[in-house]
This record gives sequence, C-alpha cells and structure tokens, in this order.
Amino acid sequence: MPGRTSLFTPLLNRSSGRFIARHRLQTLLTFVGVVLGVSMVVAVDLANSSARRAFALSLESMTGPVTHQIIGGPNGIDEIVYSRLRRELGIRTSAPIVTARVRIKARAFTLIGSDPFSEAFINRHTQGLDTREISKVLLGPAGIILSERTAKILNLTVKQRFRIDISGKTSEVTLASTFTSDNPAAVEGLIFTDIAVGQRLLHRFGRLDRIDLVLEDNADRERVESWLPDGLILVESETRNQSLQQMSEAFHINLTAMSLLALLVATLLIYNTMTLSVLQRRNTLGIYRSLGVSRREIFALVLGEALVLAVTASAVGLLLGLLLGQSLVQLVTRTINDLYFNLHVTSFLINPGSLLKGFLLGVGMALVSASLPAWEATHTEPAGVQQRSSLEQRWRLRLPIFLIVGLVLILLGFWLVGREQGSLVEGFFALTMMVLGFCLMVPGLVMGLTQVVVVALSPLHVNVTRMAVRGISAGISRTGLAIAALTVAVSVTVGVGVMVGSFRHTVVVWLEQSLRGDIYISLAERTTYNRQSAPISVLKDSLEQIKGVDLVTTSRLVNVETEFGQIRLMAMTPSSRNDSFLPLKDAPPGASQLFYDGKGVLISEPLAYHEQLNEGDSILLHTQRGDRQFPIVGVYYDYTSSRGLIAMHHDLYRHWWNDENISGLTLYRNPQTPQRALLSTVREAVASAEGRFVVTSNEEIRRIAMNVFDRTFVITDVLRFLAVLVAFAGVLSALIALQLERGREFGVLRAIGMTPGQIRAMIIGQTVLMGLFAGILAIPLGLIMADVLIEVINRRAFGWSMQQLLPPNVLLQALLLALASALLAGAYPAYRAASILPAEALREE
Amino acid sequence: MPDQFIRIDNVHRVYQEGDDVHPVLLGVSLTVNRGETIALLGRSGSGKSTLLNVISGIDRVDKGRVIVDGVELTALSEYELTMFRRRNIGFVYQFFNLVPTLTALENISLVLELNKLPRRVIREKSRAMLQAVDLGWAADRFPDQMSGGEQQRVAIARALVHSPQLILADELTGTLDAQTGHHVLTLLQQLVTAYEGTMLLVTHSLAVAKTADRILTIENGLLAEQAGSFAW
Repeated sequence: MPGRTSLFTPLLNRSSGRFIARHRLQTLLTFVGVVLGVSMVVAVDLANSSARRAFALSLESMTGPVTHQIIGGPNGIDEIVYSRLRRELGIRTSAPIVTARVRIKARAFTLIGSDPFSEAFINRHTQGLDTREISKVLLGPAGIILSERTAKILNLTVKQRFRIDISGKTSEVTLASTFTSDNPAAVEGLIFTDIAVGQRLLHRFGRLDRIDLVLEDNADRERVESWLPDGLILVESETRNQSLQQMSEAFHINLTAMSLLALLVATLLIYNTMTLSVLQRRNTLGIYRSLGVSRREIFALVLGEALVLAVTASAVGLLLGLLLGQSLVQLVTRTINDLYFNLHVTSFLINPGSLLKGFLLGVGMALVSASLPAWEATHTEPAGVQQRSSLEQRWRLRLPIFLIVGLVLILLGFWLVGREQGSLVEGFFALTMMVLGFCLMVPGLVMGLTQVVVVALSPLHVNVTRMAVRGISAGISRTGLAIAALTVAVSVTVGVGVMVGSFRHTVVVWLEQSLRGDIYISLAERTTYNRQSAPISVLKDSLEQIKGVDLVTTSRLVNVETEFGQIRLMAMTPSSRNDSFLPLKDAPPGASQLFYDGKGVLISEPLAYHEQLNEGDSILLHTQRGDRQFPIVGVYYDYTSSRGLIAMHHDLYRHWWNDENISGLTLYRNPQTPQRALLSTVREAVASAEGRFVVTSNEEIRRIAMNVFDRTFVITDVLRFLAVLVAFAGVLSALIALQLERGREFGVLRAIGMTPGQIRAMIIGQTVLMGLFAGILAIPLGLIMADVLIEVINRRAFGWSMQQLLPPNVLLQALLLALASALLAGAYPAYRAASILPAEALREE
Repeated sequence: MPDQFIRIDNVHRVYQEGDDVHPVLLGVSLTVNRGETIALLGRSGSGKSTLLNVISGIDRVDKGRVIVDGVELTALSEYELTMFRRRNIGFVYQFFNLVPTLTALENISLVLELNKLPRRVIREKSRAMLQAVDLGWAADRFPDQMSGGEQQRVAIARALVHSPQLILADELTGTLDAQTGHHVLTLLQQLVTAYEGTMLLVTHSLAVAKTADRILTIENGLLAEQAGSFAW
C-alpha cells in the first residue's frame, strides 16, 4: 500500500504550469507587479544603505580608535590646551585636529589637519593611510595627501601644485603623497595634511577645532573632565557620530515606508491573482479532490505556484532594484546634502542584506497573500457536490464582517496615532492598519455604490448599463480587490499630494514671514567658524554707506554643545525693522521683548518637539564661560533643520561665547529705493571687498529654498508613480480575468444580437465605473493618509507642524488618475471580449 | 455465502440553506455484494447523487453508518477519507470532469501518480488503459481537443486504471448520444467485470438500469428495490 502522501506531484505541478501558461498575460501582470514592488524596496534600501555606509565610513575613517573628543565653542580651542593635556595629564594618545569643508576643482572635500607624531600614538591608521605619510607633508610648505583614487579622479600627480578653495579664498597646495586604501570609498571625500599646514590654510593660527583622544577607562575620562578649562567639554565620539547619523534617519524611514506601501499594493495584486486562479480552477480542484488529492496537497499546490511566481519575480525585482537603486542613490544623496550634511556617495554599495531583505519580503508577502486563496482552494468541494456561485455567495456573506473588521482596524489606527509620544515606526504601523482596514471595507462600499448607481440609472431603462453596473457587484470577489488595489495606489497620490501641497504652502508662508530683509550677504562657504571676521566687518561698514540702505544687521550661525548634543545656534541683532523676524508658535505676549532684552532664547519647533521643551522651560548650553541654563521665552516655526535651532540675541551670545565674529549680514533698504538697483550696487561693493561672499536677494532665497523643497520631493514622486504602476497592473489583471470568466456570457450576448461595439461599451462602462469608485474611495483614504502624514508622521519624524491645505487639483487629479488607469486597463479586455466568436464561446462550456 | 462489500445502515442526510431544511436521505439502508452492479434510479433531486457521494465519502452523513469493504467511512477523518478514495474508488461523471490542463494520458496517469506507483508502472498501466478504451492515438490530446464520447472514455480509463474495488458512475451517458452512450457503458461494464469490481450506476435511463444486476429506486429520501419497468 502506498505510504503517506507527498506534497508535490509532478503531474499536478505540470497541470499548474500549463494553467499559468494559458493565462500568460494575467501571470505576467502579477509578475510585473511583484517585480516593481520588490525593486522599489530593494532600490530604496540600497540607496539608503549606500548613503548610510558612505557616511559611516567617512566617520570611521576620521574617528578610528578615538573614544572621546574635546570640543570648544565657536572659536575652537587654544592649541596650548593640547600641549598642556599631554604635559600635565600625560595623555599621549591624543591628536590635535583642524577641519573644514574645502573645494578642489569645484568638488567638495573635508580637509583634516593633524599632527603626524600624535597620530602615531593614536594608531588611527585611517583606512590604509600610514601616519608616516603625513610626515612627508612637513617637507613642503603646503603639502597635502590624498588617496590614490581621489588623486586619479582629480587628475593630480605627486608634487603637482594646485588650487584649493577654502571659505571663499583660494590657496595653493602641493600633492605631497598619495596612499592606497582598503576601502577607497571611505577616504574619497577626505584630504589629509599636517596640523600646521591645516592651521595656515584655514587661517586658524594657534587654534584647534577639536582634540581627539583614546581614553582607556572611566578614570581617565574623569581626570580629563575635571582638568578641562572653562568653555571646553569632553564628548564621546561614538555618541557624537550616532547623533550625526540620526539626523537623516527619519528621512530614510520615510523612504522605506513609501517603498513598503508599493509592496503592499503588490501584495494585494498577488492575493487578487491567486484568488482568481483558484476561482478559475474550481472545477479542476474539485476533480482533484474527488480523485483523492488531499487538502494539504491542494494547499501546497496553490502556495507552490505563488512561491514560484514570487521567487522568480523577486529575483528579477532584485536586478531591477539594483538598476533603480543607482539612480535613487543620487536623489537620496542630493536630498541629504540639501537637508542634513555633506555626503560623498561616489560608489553604489550593493549590500547583500538589502538584496536578501527585498527578496524575503517579496517572497514572504507573496506567500502570506497567497495563503488565503490557497486555504480557500482546500475547501473546494469534490466534483459532483460543487454548488455554483458558492464563492461569490460566501464573499457576500463575509462583506459585513469585512466592513466591521476594516472599521475596527481604522479605529485602532486612529487610537494608535492619537497616543502622545508614539514612535515614527508606530505611526507607520498605524497608517498601514488604516490602509488595510480601508481595503477590507472597499468591497462592501463598492456594493453600496453600485446600488446607488443602479438606482440613479434606473430611469434610463438601458439594460446594457444595468449589466455593466451589476457586473461589478456580481463579481465582487474580483472587482472588489481590483478596486481596492487602485484605491490604495490613488490614495497614496492624494495623501502625499495633500501633504506636499500643505508643506509647500506652509514653507512659502513661513519664508514670507521670516525673510524680512531685502538683501542677504554670507560667506561663500557655509562653515561654523568665521575665519574672516575682519573682512565682513569692513564690508558691513562700507555697505552702511551705500545710499538707499536703511539698516545693516549682523547674524552669527554656529554649532553649540547643549544637554541634547550639538545644536545650531543663530545669534541675531535686534532692530526696529525685524521685530517679527521669527514667526512665533508658542509664545506668551512680550516674548519678543524678552528675547530682545536678552532674557532668554527662542527655540525652533522641531527642537521643542523632539526634546519635549516648551516656553517657560530652560535649556543648558555649554558656553565659553561654562555651562549655563537659558530660559526659553518661546517656540518659533522653522523648517530649515529637523534637528532644531536656538535663536539668541547677538549681544547675549557675544557675552557668553566671547565671539565677535559675524556669519552674515542682512540689508534693509529704504522703501523708496528700488530693490534691483540696490542689489547691483551692493554686488559691486561686495565684489571689490576682500574675501568671497554670496549676495542673495530676498526673492532669490525664496526661489532657492523652494527649488530645494521641490527637489526633496522628486524621490517621492518617483515612488508614487511606481505604486500607481503596480496598481494599474492589478486592475488590468483583474479585468482580463473577469473577461475570461465571462467568455460564455459574452458569447450568449453576441448570439442574441449584441454588437461587438455594445460589448465593448459595456466593458468600458464597467471599468470606468470601477475607476470612478476607486477615485471616489481614494479621496477619504487619501485625506486620512494626509492627516496622519502631516499630524503624526511628519511631526514624529521632523517635529514640523504645517497648515493643512486641500488643493482642489489634487482631488481632481486623483479622480482623473483612477479613471485613466481603469480606462486604460479596460481597453484591452474590452477589445478581447468584443472579438469573441459566439459559437466558440458557447462551445467551450 | 455472498461477500458483503457495501453496507449502509439507516443513513440520514439533510441540507440546510438559511432557514430552509431539505431532507434528502431519510434512513437509507443498503447492502451491496462484491462484484455486483447496482443501478440507482430516481427523479432529479431525489438524492441519487447524494447517496453516491455518501458512499464515496465526499459527503458526510448526519446519522447512520457507511461501511465499504469493511472500513467504516463515517468514522474516518477527512484525510483518511481522501486516502481511501484515492486507493479504492473510481469516479465517472456525466460531464467527464477531466483536468483541462493535462493530456488524455496524463489524466489517466494522475491517479497512479497520486498512489505513488513507480514511473515505469504508471507509464505502462496508463498506456494499456488508454489502449483498452481504444484511444491509444489520443495520448497527447487535451480534453478540449476530443469529442464528448472520447472524453468519457478517458474518464472511464482514469476511473479504472488503479483497479478500484468500487466504481461510481453518475449519469455517465447523460450527455452522449444513444449509440456512443451504449458503447461507453458496454466498455465500462466489460472492464469492471474483468477484475470483479463493484459498481453503482446513477441513471435516468431504464435501458441503462436494466444492464445492472439489481435496480434500486430512491424517492422521498427512501430506497426501494424494484424489479418491474419504469418510465422516468
């Protein structure tokens, strides 16, 4: 007697293979959907990991074994501190560092000046850079070292002299030596030089940016801490690196969530296809059952088909993801450079983890989505006891359950997002619950909408129209899913569209309120230290003499150490013209006055949100005169940094940091003076001044800011487009399957006298209606999504609040997109159905 | 002493759709001897097919016992029933029920493959069976490339290829013309007799019923043995 059954039988598999081959187009569409879904996840993950890795590598090459760093204020550290540290505390494992962003041949680099002898103690071995190499630079007056690859990219040879642009000023240096690195990507954006050369190039004579330390234990740390002069602090390099890395983390999470949404749409597509394939084979599965094929074997058969489809589609998705990822990494890097920090991603990193993750997600989601149809298939009754239309009946019976479960999921989602202090991931989880809940409700809502349409069209007494509408409710198990997939994809367009529109509007209004000056002048290079205080002060004096200039105010932008890590501080000069220079959010009456009187600081909204600070609290800042608590007099809107900003009266800043430097100037013109004329006069004055400055008008800043804003969301548009493409494949697949199933019905209609044109019109009418339903349903889901994105996701990710705006064009676009997708998807099935030969269709049964 | 092969004791089967209750079998009892051919006559909806399904284990009973070849089907699990059906029962349906994605030869091989017979045996037995139904030439044809009579012959071959002890035929000539129907029925009976299988034939046709050893009628949920002529 034969033993226990095997789950896979060659003939059953062959039968499955032939079924798939006979439904090539349907399978191909699902295949494309999964390929797109997986490729998006892989591409985003690869782009994210490439950016993260590049950042981590550059940090690692700069940090090495360094455990701590001594950091000064905006003016850095007196180099005597370093000598004293070695002499008085005997800590040899320390190195003095100066660093800055520089440009060579219009490319941005990070210049690092260190002491080669100290480096030998630290044993940093920066990615293959032998510290002895650094000593070579001592031989030349301005020698620097580059990695071999960087030198090659820049087309430089050893001993060649070339120009280097530092803070707007050009200096000549010599390539003293090159080195090879085990990991060229890690050192590609770095230039090494001796500390003295670095100080000379950066005009930081006698000053250091930081002191790197390798401390053995806590005792050493305590010793250094108690020894440190006022104004200097000791920070852990790991913590510092982490906080730097976390800056862009929310951005990475947002991208990942977008890609997962596309995979969710692809999952619906797989579910749809597998359900359809089970439906189409109900009779065959019934024959299997009566021949003795067990439920387990049927389950394995259907799941096996999904597995084969998922594995092949995911494999192709990986390849496409690799290609897509290479383009995406450029967009990600550009956004990170625009919003967060200087990042060199010169090599695209193929992270096996990303590939594995994408593959497993694709296969896993496919198996999960196919398991329900597979389970349905096991309940196919053996041939002979099958009852027709039982599946549609079962579906109809389940609709109220779907509606209730969907509603519960949506309410749970709302409850989750309503919780204070929830995490970003929790926010996305809640959003997913809402989307899934809405998906479950779609078939029930579609049934209701068809009833409305039937009633509305009843006075017309046109049977073709009635048939088209009823066709949707009659095949709700299939049409419901197709509409759900399209609804989700279109709702993403609505949700993200409303969010981006609201965000854009908020930023425009905010720029209007914040940019009160007419002309802004800043140093060509955005650096923390202002090494050209003298020229900019001289420039200020000369600008004040220009006719038509009412007022010139100064500002200072520096990074300061706080109890929450390093935060950007903006020191501002008060004036009667810029009273409302900061749009205040939570501030009592008189907050501006308190600020101008130097009684406290203002903090930006993201900082208040992330650190749970509010007006009335205080913030601890490490000043040149030691730690000091500053009262927070109010919170203001700011969209320049998701980490947060502190605004302080310039005088208060000068007092605590002993820093007379200036980062930028703001010009206020006389209302009678034309802006354009003044701008050219100022540009002429600045061109003749010492140093390199950037002169930007109010309008130009707005335009640049909005360009950066729009650029940031290009990546979102790409992902949205792909999600719609996946949904389109879903609708097309469902419609083709419907048309196949109804072949006999169309044959009968043709036989009784319907023309091919009428059949075509009926199917097109049906698909247009499906598109319309998807468009209508996508609007509430999209608005829910927009609300969650604005009020929860953006707040938790960036701490920004924004004015919700409902751009009417977004809603119109959603309707048009849904209609166009459905219409396009319906064209081919309509053509196929209309070309059916009645005799053949009737014979097939 | 005849060898009792099927024994049905007081079987009840009631279908319920919402509040509507449809009693189909109301205490049916029956014994069938090994090698016997039974014809089951009855009006549409009288419960003929339900009785067949109950005997094959693809439908459950609400009350009573069904014993086939000493195995009490009513006591078996779903999985055990499937395995029992796979090994011991052959079905022939009115609408052939061939797997559309398998060729004639593959349709026949499927049952042997499910029973895990060696490949060589599967090949030989399937080909022999196809020859036996006079369709050796149609081995690679798919069902939609064959006529109704040819499809029914493939269905017979599939039902008998594993020499099941029990053959259940539900209206096997229902969709065929008289001549083809007669040919198919004769073929089935010859093949079943050749290895002494037991057969239950559900039919509307008295002519078909008359070829059986015994004729049973089912009406109002009860079974009765008839000897006379009927006009359904």
